Amino acid sequence: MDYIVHSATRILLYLSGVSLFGIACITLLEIVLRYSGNPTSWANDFVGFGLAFCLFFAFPEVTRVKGHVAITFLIDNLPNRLILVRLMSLLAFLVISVTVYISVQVLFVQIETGVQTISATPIPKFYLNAGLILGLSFASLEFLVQVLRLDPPADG
Amino acid sequence: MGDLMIIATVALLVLLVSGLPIFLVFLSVNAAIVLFQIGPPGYGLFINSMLNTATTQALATIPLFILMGEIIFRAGAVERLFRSIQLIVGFIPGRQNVVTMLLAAVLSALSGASMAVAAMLGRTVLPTLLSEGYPKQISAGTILAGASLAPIVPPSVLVIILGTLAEESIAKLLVAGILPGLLLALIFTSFIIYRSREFDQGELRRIENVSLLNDTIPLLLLIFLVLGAILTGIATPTEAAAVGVLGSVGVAALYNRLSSNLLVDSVFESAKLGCMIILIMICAKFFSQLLAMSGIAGGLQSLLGVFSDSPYLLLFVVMIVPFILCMLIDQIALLLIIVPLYKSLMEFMPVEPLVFWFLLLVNITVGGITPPFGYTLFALKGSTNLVSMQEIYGAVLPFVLIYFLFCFFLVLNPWIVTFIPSLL
Repeated sequence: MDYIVHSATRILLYLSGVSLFGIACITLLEIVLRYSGNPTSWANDFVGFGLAFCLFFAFPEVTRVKGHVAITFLIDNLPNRLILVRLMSLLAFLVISVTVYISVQVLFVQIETGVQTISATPIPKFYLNAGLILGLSFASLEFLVQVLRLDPPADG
Repeated sequence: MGDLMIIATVALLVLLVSGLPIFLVFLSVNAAIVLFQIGPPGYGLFINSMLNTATTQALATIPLFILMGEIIFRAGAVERLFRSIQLIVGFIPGRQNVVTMLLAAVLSALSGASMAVAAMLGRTVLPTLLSEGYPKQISAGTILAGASLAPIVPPSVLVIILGTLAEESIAKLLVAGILPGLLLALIFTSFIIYRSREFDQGELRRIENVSLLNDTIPLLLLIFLVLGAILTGIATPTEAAAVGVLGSVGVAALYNRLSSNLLVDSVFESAKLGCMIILIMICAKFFSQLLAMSGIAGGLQSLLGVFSDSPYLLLFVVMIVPFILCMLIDQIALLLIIVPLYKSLMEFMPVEPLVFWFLLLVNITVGGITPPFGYTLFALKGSTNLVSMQEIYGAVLPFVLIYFLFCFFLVLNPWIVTFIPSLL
């Protein structure tokens, strides 16, 4: 299970990197086109969409490397810290799973109604939600991996 | 709804210090409210709030500025800057500490994150300072004071978040930090020179290797390029950040360090760091919206109404709260909770919104370096075993005091904040 989850996390990180690179390129292109008298109508929107995918797809990797920001000064000196950290990972798995459930319910509604983003270049909203669900799902699985494995405690 | 949100806010504050990841604290509270209070009609609101925050174009500035910093640091800029600044200030008493302060100021402008600057200098520069006999207190204090400039000196990640939440012009907020940042750097440097006069009279050093100075020029040009693009209105902050990324690639090429590995690693690291920061906003936005809808802001207005005759006292009370909370809670999390509430108090303030938000920024910055729980203190301690927590506490106190006095100075002289933004 570890291998499959980590591999998927790696692939999503690549996609996240591609999105960030795309954001930088589109933004630079827009500056050039604007000052040459041909501004685009889609660049700003695509930077926003690209940002969403960049963030959602990096989420599992940040979870895998235990990179989330936490305020740990109270639990740092507790004796059974490893158990506590594992309990937190379990809670994270449950909460994110609930969020995935809610997102999927919303996804069905979005597909059914064909709702689009409110932007100059609208796209179906479920594209973005699908990205969110993908990122959340693999992040929750990464938390589950941390619950099941004897990982060292997160440093926050 | 108001009572529920008060309970939820208290629960949130308790959970924040429990060691749970901050994004998870917000997500848990939001999910609980949606599931048990609002029900299925709230599902769409909850998810749309996350999607709308994630697609906020202004937030793309954060990973782009991080990418700019990553490329520069991986190109070896820190070592080159350190050597160059040493040559420039070689004759000043306490020169290594002055070097550290200037280095911290430049790194702050390049990275925008005080914890990153403190950790970086703690690992690279502090051992050098201590091995040359500089007192621990002055050296650690210098690093922390320099690092604390990061949220103030543009480009700053916190400013982008603050501007987005407060619906203020991000460009104006960014450039508002130039003059106060320079002034603070000058005050800190003068203080360091004054304190260093007893143990280091300084030697007059000739600039022997002029080519080393050339190392600094590309970085300074990069900072001016980014700030100039915003100041002249040629580019939005996001576009300026993208220009900064392109410029940093140029700097890496100038330093002969440009490679596909450097670029790929920088992109991945920036995506991760950007996610780490913005994920908290994505998860917290819904809570902020609930707070705004719940009427708590109105309650806060009535509560603070007793100070309506003394606007400066009100300003003091409003500023002391985030200062204290920032010793316990992450700066971004705190901004997400208090900015929606403080927006409703703007009409009672004796200063204009730009100055108010800037003061808030300075306050939470000082909170980050104030003992016992200031975050940046832990970042420095985590990067080195050469100084104890006790020594760090002692080292930073004079700088916290300077910050306090500086805040009063800003309230009395708000033009320091508003002058450059007024040119936009």
